[in-house]
Amino acid sequence: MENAGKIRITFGNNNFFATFGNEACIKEVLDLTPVRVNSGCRGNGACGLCKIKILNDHVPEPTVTEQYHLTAKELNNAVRLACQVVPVSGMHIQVINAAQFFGSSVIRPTDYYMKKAFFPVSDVPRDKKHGKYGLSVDLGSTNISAVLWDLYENKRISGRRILNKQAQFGSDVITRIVAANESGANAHRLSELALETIGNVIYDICSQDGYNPFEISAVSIVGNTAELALLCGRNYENLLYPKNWVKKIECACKDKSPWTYKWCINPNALIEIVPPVGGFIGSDLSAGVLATDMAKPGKCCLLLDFGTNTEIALWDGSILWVTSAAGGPAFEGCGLSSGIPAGPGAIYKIDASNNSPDFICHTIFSEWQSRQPKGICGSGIVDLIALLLDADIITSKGKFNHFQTNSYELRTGAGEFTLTKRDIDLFMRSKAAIGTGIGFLLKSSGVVAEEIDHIYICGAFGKNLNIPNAIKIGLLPVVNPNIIDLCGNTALAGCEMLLISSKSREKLELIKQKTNLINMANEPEFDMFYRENLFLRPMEVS
Amino acid sequence: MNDLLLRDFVTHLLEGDCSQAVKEAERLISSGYTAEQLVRNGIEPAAETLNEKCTSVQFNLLEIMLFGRAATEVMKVLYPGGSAVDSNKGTLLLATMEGDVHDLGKNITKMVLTCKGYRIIDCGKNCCISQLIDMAVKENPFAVGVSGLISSVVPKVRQIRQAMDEQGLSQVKIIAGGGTLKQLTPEQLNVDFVAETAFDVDRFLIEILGGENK
Ligand code: B12
Ligand code: FES
Repeated sequence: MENAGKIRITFGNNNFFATFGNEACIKEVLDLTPVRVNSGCRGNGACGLCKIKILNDHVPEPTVTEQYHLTAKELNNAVRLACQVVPVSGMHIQVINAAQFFGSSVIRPTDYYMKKAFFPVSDVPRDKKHGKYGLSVDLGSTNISAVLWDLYENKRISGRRILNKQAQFGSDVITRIVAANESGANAHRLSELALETIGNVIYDICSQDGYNPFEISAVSIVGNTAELALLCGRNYENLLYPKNWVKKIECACKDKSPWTYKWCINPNALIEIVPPVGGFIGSDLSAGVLATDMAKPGKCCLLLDFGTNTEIALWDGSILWVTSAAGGPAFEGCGLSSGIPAGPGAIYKIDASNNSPDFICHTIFSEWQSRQPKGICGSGIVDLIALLLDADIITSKGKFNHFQTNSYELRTGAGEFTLTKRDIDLFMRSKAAIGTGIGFLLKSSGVVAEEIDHIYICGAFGKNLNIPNAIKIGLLPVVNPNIIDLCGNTALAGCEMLLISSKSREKLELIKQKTNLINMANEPEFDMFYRENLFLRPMEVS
Repeated sequence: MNDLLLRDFVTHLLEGDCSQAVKEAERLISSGYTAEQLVRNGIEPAAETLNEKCTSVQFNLLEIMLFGRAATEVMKVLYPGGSAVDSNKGTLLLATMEGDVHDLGKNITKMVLTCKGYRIIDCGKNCCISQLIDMAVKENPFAVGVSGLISSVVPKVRQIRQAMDEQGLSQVKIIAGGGTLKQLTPEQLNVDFVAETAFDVDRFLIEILGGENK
C-alpha cells in the first residue's frame, strides 16, 4: 500500500471508516464496502450516477466530466462524482446515490486463488454474432459467485458474490431437496429462486459496470449436485436415496429459452452446466481439482472444499479418490448459538493475549468503526475451540473442565458471545465427518498422511482458517503446515477455465476417467472412524 | 435512411456546431423538409455514428456532449417550447428507467408529442419504478412511455406492468421506445407497444385514444 489512508463515510444515519490503498477513486473504495455507490459505467465518467457529497473541506475542483453531469447548484454544494474524486486521507464523504442492494459484493481478480493454478489461453471458438461476453457461475448453497469474461480480449472484466435466494427454504441443501420433493410448486420455486439470483448477479454486473447483457453468449455453471439439480428442477429426488450416492445425477438445462429470457442475455447463448461427478459430489469439486492443478503425475495431493457438504478429493499420483462428508452447516456458522456466516461483522480469527485472560477477536471489516462483531464464523470457532483446549477450559471430549460450567462467554468490546456444550458437540460432529472422509480416502488409496505433498483448502471458510489450530483439533491431518494452501474459491476459478479454454475441458475429461467415488455410508468401519474423529485432538490415521 | 441533402446538417451536429446546425435546420425547413424528417434522417443517424465513441469500453465525453447540445438547440427551433395548441389529447408520462441516463431521445419525444397536443409529464432520467408509479397514480395518464438506450434496463422495464397492476393501474398502457428497447418485441418487454420513433407513437396513441373515446 503506497497511498494508504482512511476516509469517513456517511450513509443515511450510519457513519463508518474505510481504509484505502491503491484505489484510484472513491468509487473503488466504496466498491469494497457494503455501501456501494450507484454507477452505470464502471467509473469511466460516462453515467454521472455515482454522486457523493464531500462533507469536510477536502473538496476537489470539479473535473470536466463533473461539470457536464452535475448542475451548478450541485457543484457549489460540494456534490461530486465518486469515480472522479481521488481519495485523500481524512476526507469525509456522504453517499447520495447508493447502488441497489442485492446482498452482493464485488469480487476483484485478486480475491481468489490463482497463484499456482495454470491459467490457459482462451481458445474456445465463439460465434461473434451472439456477443463477446461469457459468464462463469459457482452456484453455492449460501453464495452464488459469478465472473464476467470478455471472450475476445481474454480478460476477466467483472465479478460479484451474492446471497443465494434459496435460503428462504432453509440453509442446507437437504432441507431444500426435501422441500422440492414435497411439491412441484416448491421445486419450481426453488429453481426460480436460483435463476433469479443468477439474474440479479447479471443485472448487477451489467447495470453497474455498463455492459450489454444481450452480449453474453456463453454461461458455464458449476456447483454441488443438489444445487445443480434444483436449478434444473429435475433428479433432485435421487439424492434422497443412498443407493444413488455414487451414481451420476444428470443435470442439464433442457430448455434454455426461459433462462436466457429471465437473465436478459443473448437468446442463443450457450448454457452449460458442468456435470457433477456423481452422488453429492458436484462439479464445484472437479472445477477445484482443475484450478489447483493437483492431479499431477507422481504427486500426492488432498483438496478440501469446506461447506455444509464438504467435498474431499485425494490424488494419489494416478487416481483421484473423492467423497463427500455431510458435516452440516457448522463451518458456515449455522446452528451454533453465536454462529454467523463469514461476512461483515463475523469474528473470523481469535488469538490468545499475553497480558489478559481475554482473547483477541478479529472481525471482518473491523476497520469500520461502527461495525461491531455480530457473531463468530467457522474459522473463528476453530480458533476458539483450540484456545479453550489449550487453556484446559474444555477437554478433548468437548466437556467443560469446571464441573458447573456448560458454556463459555467470549468477551469482546461489543458484548459477549456464547459457546455452549451443545455448540461444541455440533462442531465435533461436523469435524468428525470430515476426519472420517479423509481417513477413508487415505485408507482406500493406501496413502499415509506423511506422503501428502500438498493440501488445498477451498471455500470462504478455508480462507481464514488458522492451520496449526485446525491440525490441533483434528480437522486437518498432521502434516507440515507449509504444505497447506488456503485457496479461496477454486470452484469459480475452475469454472472460468472451462468457460474459456478447451485444454481445460480435455483435462477435466481425463480427470473424470481417473476418478473413483467413495460412498462412506457403505463402509462397515464408518462408525469406528467417526467415533475416533469426534475427539478434539490431532488426527490419527491408522 | 441516408438523405444526401441532409449531409451538411449531420456534419454540423456531429461537430457540435450549434449555430451552423440550427442555421442549416432552418434552411432545410424553409426548403420544404418537415421537422420529422430532420429528426429521423438527421439527428437519429448522427447519433448512430457516435456508436463507437460510446461503447462500454470506450467513451469520448466531449464529442457526445457537443452533439447533445447541438441536437437540443436544433430541437428548440423545430419545436418551439410550449407551442402546443392545447393539450387536450390526454396525459402521457415519460421516463428513462433506473440506471439509464440517456435522455436525448426522451426529451425529443417530449417536444414532439407536446407539439401534437399531448400533456407530457416528464419523470426524468434514472427514474425508478416506484417514482413512476407514484406519478401515474397522481396524474392519471392514459399511457406511460419508457425510453431505454442501454440493455441492462430491460429487466426493469419488464417489471412495470405488474407494478402498475398492483396499484390498480391496469388500464394504463405502456409504450417503450429508444435505441435499445425498439429492437425488442412488446412480448419480450411485457409492454403494449414498441415505438420505432417519437412520431410513430402518435399513431398508437390515436388508436387507443380513439378506441376509448368512442
Ligand atoms: C448520447 C449517448 C450517450 C450520452 C447520453 C447523453 C444524454 N443526455 O442522453 C452519455 C455520454 C451520457 C452516454 C453514456 C453511456 N452510454 Co451511451 N450512447 C449515446 C449514443 C451515442 C446516442 C444515443 C442518442 O441520444 N441517440 C439519439 C436519440 C434521438 O435517439 P433515441 O434515443 O433512439 O430516440 C429516438 C427514438 O428511439 C424515440 N424514442 C426514444 N425514447 C422513446 C420513448 C418513447 C415512449 C417513444 C414513444 C419514443 C422514444 O424518439 C427519438 C426520436 O425518434 C448511443 C449510440 C446509439 N446508437 O444510440 C450510445 C449508447 C446508447 N450508449 C451505450 C453505452 C454502453 C453507454 C455507457 C454504458 C458507456 C460507458 N462507457 O460506460 C454510458 C452509461 C450510460 C448509462 N448508465 O445510462 C451503448 C448501449 C449499449 C447497450 N445496448 O446496452 C450505446 C448503444 C453505444 C454502443 N453501441 O455501445 N451515452
Ligand atoms: S460517472 Fe459513471 S460511475 Fe462515475
